[in-house]
Amino acid sequence: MSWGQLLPAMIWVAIGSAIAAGAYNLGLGALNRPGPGLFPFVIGVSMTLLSLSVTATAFRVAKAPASATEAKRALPVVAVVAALIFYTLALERIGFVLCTLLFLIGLLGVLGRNSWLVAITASAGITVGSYLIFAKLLKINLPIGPLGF
Amino acid sequence: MDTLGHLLHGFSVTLQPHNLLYCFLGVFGGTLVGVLPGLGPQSAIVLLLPVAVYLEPVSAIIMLAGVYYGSMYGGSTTSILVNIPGEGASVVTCIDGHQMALQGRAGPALGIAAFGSFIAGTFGLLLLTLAGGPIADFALRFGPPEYFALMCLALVILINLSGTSLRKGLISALAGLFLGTIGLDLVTGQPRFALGLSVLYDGIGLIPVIMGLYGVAEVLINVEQGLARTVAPGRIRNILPTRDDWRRSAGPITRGTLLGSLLGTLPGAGVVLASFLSYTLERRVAKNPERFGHGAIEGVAGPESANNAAAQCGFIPLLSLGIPANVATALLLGAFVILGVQPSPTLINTHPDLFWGTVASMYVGNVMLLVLNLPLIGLWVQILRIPYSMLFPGVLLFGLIGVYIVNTSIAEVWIMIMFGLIGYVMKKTDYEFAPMVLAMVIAPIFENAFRQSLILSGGSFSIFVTQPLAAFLVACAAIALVLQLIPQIRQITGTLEK
Repeated sequence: MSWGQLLPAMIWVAIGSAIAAGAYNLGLGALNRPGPGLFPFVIGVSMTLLSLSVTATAFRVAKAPASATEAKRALPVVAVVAALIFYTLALERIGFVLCTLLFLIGLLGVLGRNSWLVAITASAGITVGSYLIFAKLLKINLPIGPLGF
Repeated sequence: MDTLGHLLHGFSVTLQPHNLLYCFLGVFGGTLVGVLPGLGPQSAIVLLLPVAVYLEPVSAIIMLAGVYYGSMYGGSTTSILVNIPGEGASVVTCIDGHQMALQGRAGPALGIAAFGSFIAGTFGLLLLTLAGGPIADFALRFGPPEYFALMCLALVILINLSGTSLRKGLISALAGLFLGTIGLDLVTGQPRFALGLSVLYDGIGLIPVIMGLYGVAEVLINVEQGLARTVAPGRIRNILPTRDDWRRSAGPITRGTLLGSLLGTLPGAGVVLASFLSYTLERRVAKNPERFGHGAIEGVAGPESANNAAAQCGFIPLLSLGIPANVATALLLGAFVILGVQPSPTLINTHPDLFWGTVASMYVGNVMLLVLNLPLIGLWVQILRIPYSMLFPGVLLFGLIGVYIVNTSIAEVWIMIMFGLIGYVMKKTDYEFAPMVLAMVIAPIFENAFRQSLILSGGSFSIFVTQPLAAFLVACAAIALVLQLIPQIRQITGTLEK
């Protein structure tokens, strides 16, 4: 049995069933008068059946050997996602310039392990450059923070 | 003669200074992103899409088309110099191209790739120019069942080539079709799967989804594999291929061009298959095939020609049928829709500026690429030296701002992050998201064809097999499905024998 195959397949079964149920509630209509739910219902049912068959296969295949480095490798992934969430939460509160600067310094300096001099210089350069391109050249209104930029 | 007149009109659109500028920005930006490690044509189109929606449709499509074929050029450069394919189509170019580079013949390899791409791309364009109109005329006779069958065929072929198992590919495609149904139902005006969120009422935005998948998820996969990159290309000399190189490459370029044109036109097949088959073909027809894998220039010339011919011919189904041939053209189709134009067989008559302007711009763009790339090789080599640890924050930033500015919506940025995670998990669990993207883009026309067919037939599914053309296309899709099943049948019988 392979959990690595079984777990995602089971999630797909759940998604497929949810789609089918939601579509059923939308109203299937009749075959010669298809309602808004008919097409998504066909999708949901097909997805459920296909992923059930993947689930069945997952019981038969051998378990993949677990990798010891897996957990260590996940760290940069978590860090990048955290940085993205920070940016999304902060953008309209502290403004484009400050938000972008902090985001880049964090990723370049901490995660990218560049020297602080390189990280700060590059961050400042990219921030100013992207500000000029988006705000001045393309004339897009970027969020302004409490400090006025 | 009529075609020539239309084409000349197209050139009059393309040669306007601002369109020339966007064409240049497109091919330059495309090559740039194609050269950057870990970013292929899809990422290139996705990253520049938010900027393009600020332009008028003709300029936007000229630029995005340039990004697409420009990034194909860029991809071959990284394959040859540092053995990292920028995209699937340049995987085979690595084999002999990088060997040539190790033997100090990087220059001729890059040169023949550029010339081969130019020749093949221009041939593909001629085909588009001549066949685009007649195919569109023919397709005017297509009804809903034919469209439904054609899209089934495109999806099945794409799933076959996406490198995952048939069932996982189908699940991914179904997920994409579902994503395409979110929002107000076009027929009844009823909201579907919107969960009461206003951001979902107009449908889930294509830009945040694809930016999540091709921007964020790709970065997550790459940072997980480590940020260090050790390869540094040497100096490039003698870019021009010798007379002997040309003699060896003439056949492969010709065969690659024809093969690529054929496969590129087929919905779903696309560029990757073209370059793989070209490599296999060249090794088979070669007098001494043992040279392949040790720096044979034929192994660069053939596949590079094939993938560029296929890339150009992918515009035939896109512009004359409104059906994407691969993921990159699906993204272009999405761009058309965002810009307010729905590609279909009538596009050539209703938007002649757009159709012929785009076609003409590709002739110009191909020349630009050839002229640009040979002298600028030095610049691309410098760009290759940018370490990934410097690059990925920029990609993420561009994604964040790009998604935000399209509708000034933070909610869409959250959708991007969510699809970044979804794409990452899908890749980790062996579900390719390419079928999902293609399916999501075609979902509205797919569902419409499905419903219209049922109404036409009075509720009978037999309409898909009683109409001759639809039946033929359904049969093709069925054959493509069965072909994919055969290895699995073998696998099952294999386990039974044990």
